[in-house]
Amino acid sequence: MNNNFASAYPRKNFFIQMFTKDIGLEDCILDLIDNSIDGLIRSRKIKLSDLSKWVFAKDPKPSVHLTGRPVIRVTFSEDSVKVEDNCGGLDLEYARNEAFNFGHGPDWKKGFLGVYGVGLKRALFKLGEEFRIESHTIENGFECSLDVSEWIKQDKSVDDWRIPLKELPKAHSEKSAGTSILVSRLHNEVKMCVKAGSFYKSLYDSIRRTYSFFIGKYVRIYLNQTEIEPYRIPLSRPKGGNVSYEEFEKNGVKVRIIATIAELDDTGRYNQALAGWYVVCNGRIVLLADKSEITGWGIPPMPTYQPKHRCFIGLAFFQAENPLLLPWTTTKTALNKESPIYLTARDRMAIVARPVFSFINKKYPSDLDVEPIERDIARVVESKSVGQLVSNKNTIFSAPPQAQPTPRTTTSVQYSAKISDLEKIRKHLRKPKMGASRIGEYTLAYFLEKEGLK
Amino acid sequence: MSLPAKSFERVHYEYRPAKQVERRMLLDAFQQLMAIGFPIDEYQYTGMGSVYFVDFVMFHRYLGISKMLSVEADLEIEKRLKFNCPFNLIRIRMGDIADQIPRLSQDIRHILWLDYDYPLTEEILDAVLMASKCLPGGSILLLTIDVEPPGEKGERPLDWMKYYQQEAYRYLPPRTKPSDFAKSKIPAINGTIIDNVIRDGITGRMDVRFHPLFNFLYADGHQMLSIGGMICREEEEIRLRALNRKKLFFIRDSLCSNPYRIRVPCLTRKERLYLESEMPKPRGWKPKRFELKDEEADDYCDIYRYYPAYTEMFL
Repeated sequence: MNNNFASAYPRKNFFIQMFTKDIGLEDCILDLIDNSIDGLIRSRKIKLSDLSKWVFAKDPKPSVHLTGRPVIRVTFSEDSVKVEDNCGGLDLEYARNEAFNFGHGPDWKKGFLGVYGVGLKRALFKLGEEFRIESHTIENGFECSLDVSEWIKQDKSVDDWRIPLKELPKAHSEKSAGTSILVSRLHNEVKMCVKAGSFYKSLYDSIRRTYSFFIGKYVRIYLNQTEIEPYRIPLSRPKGGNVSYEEFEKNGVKVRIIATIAELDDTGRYNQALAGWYVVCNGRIVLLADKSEITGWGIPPMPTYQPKHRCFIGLAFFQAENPLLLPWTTTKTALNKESPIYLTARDRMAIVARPVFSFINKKYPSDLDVEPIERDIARVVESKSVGQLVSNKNTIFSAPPQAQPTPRTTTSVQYSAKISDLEKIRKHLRKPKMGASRIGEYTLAYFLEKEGLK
Repeated sequence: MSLPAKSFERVHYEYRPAKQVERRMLLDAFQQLMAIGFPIDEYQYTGMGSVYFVDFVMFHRYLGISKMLSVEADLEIEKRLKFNCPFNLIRIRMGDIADQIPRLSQDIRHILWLDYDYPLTEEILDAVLMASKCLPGGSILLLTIDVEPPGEKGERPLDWMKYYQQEAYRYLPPRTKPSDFAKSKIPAINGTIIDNVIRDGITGRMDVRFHPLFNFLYADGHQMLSIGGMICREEEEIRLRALNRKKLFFIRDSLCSNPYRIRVPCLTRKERLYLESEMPKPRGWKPKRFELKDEEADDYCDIYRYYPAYTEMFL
């Protein structure tokens, strides 16, 4: 033993018991879906920039007809979680040398949803005690099974970190090439969560929202036999006007920002749950209808979110060949708010949104009823897809001029006053029947006159 | 707090000597900036011209600026503004200036003067923040605010502290106490707040920093603070090093301390003509023909080039 060195050996225990505490169950399942989508990107040589082009196209059409698209099937029960796909599979050599490492090496190829090289492993460890992965590409195949509770016991050298892997035949065709991941002997907390009555719907919504752009263009996703419908961000454009739009590129990241008015929901109202900022990184929706400080709400010059903002909707779309440059965290459900690109983007978001807030503020004087105003706003906008909103490179929100009511020059003033004080004024003025509101008007006029303000 | 009556209704803008000295100093600074390669004549000037447009007239006549925008918040005087607009080239927008800032072109540089006649408010900070986020590199941002103690007569530093806490809480230094808001310290605390707002505003802009240039303190009645500087990229930062600071003795490197105090001695026309015939003279010089306090003589030596002359004209 060389006494000039301290041990800095990675313990399995850290990765299995500690690392898994920073991520939620649903996000783990999303990480497994990311793995399937990365298989698709690898096998079909998809560029994530193509997805952006598609999202911002005037008339976006799916690249492959619906029925021909690869399928990802997610099933869960109290016994197991399974994600299987025909997205092209994991290459044997990739599995041997890269897929099970914690973190990527310096030669890591870019252009995938997988960023940090931890998502798949963290998900497997988070979910259960045992997993089995079987994968077939059109060139080779493999399977690996691991009893995590046994594997953790051997932790003396780097060799103990290897995972047994067995070669399997290649897939018969491109359509059958894919990966199946089965996690069994679920941890107790996972069992408790999946049997909750709301879990199914909650997971359905998470998948639907996170992959709405991927579902629209590349894949179909099923959750326990139910096909997931893509989520549509409820954007609209002022009739005859423009949305606020800005795009810029900085340090390898292309950022597109849109701010506009939302469309009404099915009940004909602005839905508070859908208002706010949507942040998308490489096509994956990271934040949905966010109204918190992370997207700038409450940080000047962005206002604190108030109910009148429920007709506001903004989209910040980040795209980079190297996903490490994007401002997402390892869970991909939050943003690294200190990221330089995000600090820049958040500034621009506030600026791009400003004309929309001015429009909303003018519509909502503080003392008016809200519903007629909502209807009034909705009349001047029309629903559009993302690409249809963006006509020129940069635009500033503008709504067509409407018949403006004459600007108000008066407002009502109401406050409590001591009855005895009002009585004193009545006596002083020798007007015993003078009403309280008249006294209010009189005293205001008195102040204005005596202070030389009138 | 009750806001004072609109200043354009209280005082004729053209007869505010200290304000006029400030305008002339700014004009001089802008001319010097032109001399070192800033194409000020191609800048857009955006200001709050009120009904007098004094700054617009000066900047158009003496700098050749022809892109001009005046923003007015008082919707009740739109016709009056348009009636008084001195040049056809001045565009007028009604509304909150902070709403106009994101609409300023990113393809040209700007001089933006946020010229208020009341104490700092949340809305003023909002405009400063928007400006520091939006103005392209090479642009000049100016802010004028009233730095008399806010509120009503009889109020004390504790009340003034509460006012600033309400309007600018996130930009105040931690653990401030009422003595930090003593009357004499109000200009400095305003400068600190604005400095923090601007630094917050440019946080997301990796390629720029704010270079302070102006920090004027003056009173034509109410004490006013006018601060500002340039949003600089590296190229502008280098170019600014050539600025003749000796000639522009009023230039300041900080918004928070050491303001240049504009003091305009009250002189008769005859006194002024005499003093002018003796200029230039260094500080410490005293007129021989009549009595003048030392500090008034010094002030005159400093600002004689900028001293405005008023006379009654019978039409």
